Amino acid sequence: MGPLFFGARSHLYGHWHDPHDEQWRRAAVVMCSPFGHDRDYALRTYRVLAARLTRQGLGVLRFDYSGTGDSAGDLADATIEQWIEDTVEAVVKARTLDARSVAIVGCGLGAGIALRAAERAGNVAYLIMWNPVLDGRRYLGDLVAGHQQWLEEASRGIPLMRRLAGAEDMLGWRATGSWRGSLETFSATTIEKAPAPEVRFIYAGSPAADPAFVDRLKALGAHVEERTSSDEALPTMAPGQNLGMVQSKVVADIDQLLRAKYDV
Amino acid sequence: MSDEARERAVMFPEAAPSLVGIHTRAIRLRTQSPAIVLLNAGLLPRTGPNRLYVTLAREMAAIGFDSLRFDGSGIGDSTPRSSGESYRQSALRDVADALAFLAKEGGYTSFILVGLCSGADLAVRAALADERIVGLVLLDGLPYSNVRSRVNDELLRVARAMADGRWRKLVLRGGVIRKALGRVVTTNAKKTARPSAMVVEGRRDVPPLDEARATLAALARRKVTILAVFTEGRGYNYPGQFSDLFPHLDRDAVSVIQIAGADHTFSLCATQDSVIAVVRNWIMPTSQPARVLDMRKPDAGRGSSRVDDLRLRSKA
Repeated sequence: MGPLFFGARSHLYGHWHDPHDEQWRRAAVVMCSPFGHDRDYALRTYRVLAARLTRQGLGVLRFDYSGTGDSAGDLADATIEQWIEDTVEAVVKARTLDARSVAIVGCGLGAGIALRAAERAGNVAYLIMWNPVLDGRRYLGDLVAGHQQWLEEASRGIPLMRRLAGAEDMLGWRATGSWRGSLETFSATTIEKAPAPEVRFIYAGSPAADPAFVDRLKALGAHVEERTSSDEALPTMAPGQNLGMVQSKVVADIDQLLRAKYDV
Repeated sequence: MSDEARERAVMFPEAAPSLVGIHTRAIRLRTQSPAIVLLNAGLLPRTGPNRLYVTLAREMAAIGFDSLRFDGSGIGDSTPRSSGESYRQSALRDVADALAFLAKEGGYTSFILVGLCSGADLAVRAALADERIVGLVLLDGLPYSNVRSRVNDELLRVARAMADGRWRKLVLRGGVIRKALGRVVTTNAKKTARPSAMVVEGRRDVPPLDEARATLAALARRKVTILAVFTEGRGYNYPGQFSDLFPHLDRDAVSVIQIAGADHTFSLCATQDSVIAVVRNWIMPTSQPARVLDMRKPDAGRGSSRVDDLRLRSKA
């Protein structure tokens, strides 16, 4: 099928990767991107992963949240709550493409959003969180600090940048107060039901999730496993990094997990 | 989608769809207007640096211009070609396929190519090959320097070292200035000695300056209009640099603007707003011209633009 617009208002851009017909397992994987520049850095990894998963007989839906990528709107008008709804719409879309079982893979902030969306959708079979961002306030702080560091370095060569930088500037994005506020109040750890029966964490150069949260997931009935990948973390946040990089070990890990899940 | 634009996801070429793009259509299309085609900046996907291409496409639709932003082979959502072609051949074929798609699907007969960095380089090569291309928007394209700009670069480097407190190295070692002069002289010698074949400047695939001059002259004879936008920190560092590098170019052929405070990927919102305004003003013949500002005194407002060599002086 390839590229498409979907959602109640046809406002979300997505790319559906068809599974190899003869192996179609009536299962699909929704991929949730990380935020900002990380989306561009993760793109090639996600495409490589999608190619592997389709060879397993899984359909894959990658998509852009509202106000990002090719989806409608601007970040200035977006909220994390909207992005959770967008992800639920992606799960619904995967089902309309005849998937009876839907798994979600999320990276960075996309992992936290995936978890909330899975909780809301209520019928996600498998959740994989790669370097998850679960605390919006802390992540916003990291982004702001990252922006300041980048701006300090960049303005050494272009001093006028210091004067031009505005309150909404954040690493190339127009991060308005409303979006920042929605991120600041976002927390993936206060869920009230298991997002999926099976939850997997993959840490590649990032700290592990709070053990208390992992225990909470288990207490809610999820079967949880954590693993560490030898890949490095994405070159997060800053513009101008290597866009051609593929996190090949993370790809192999996710591929292996889904093979085990869908008995390939 | 907005009131001014509709977008659809497309794949082409028809025979073997492998390139993915977004076709943005104006609700109120200007009749017989060229379609705008946005070319990847390096390996960045079709959304452009900091989503600039998406914003630009929608802004252009708001003033009546359709556009296509697409991923070249092996970039973003597009699959690589398996033909074994070189990058240069493959990239040119991608552009040709994009124009063919637009011509067939939308009946467009003329095009404006927009590119940043390597996208600008590709835009120039594609324009030479296709007479339907009537305009170019080159963002940090034509990356040529001369002795004066290289001296300026080194002076800026020394000034930054001083500002960073590294003056002690300058004084005690005494070698920084000597090395800087050495770089200017060596670079100048290399550039003048460079063969006329296509060479790679850094990671750019640009022809030598004499060939670029011939290319722009050829495009000028075809009445291709060009908007050359330069950012800071990339070697374009004094007013008149473009006219010094391309002294014989027709005065009406190229509009040159440097956007003060803009880095290569327009990371600040104010500079994104500026470049979009510059492109909008250039593409709309009835728009107000960009303001002329003294480049020594950037506008007090944010997102100022310096208009540099807006009209090149014609040679007698």
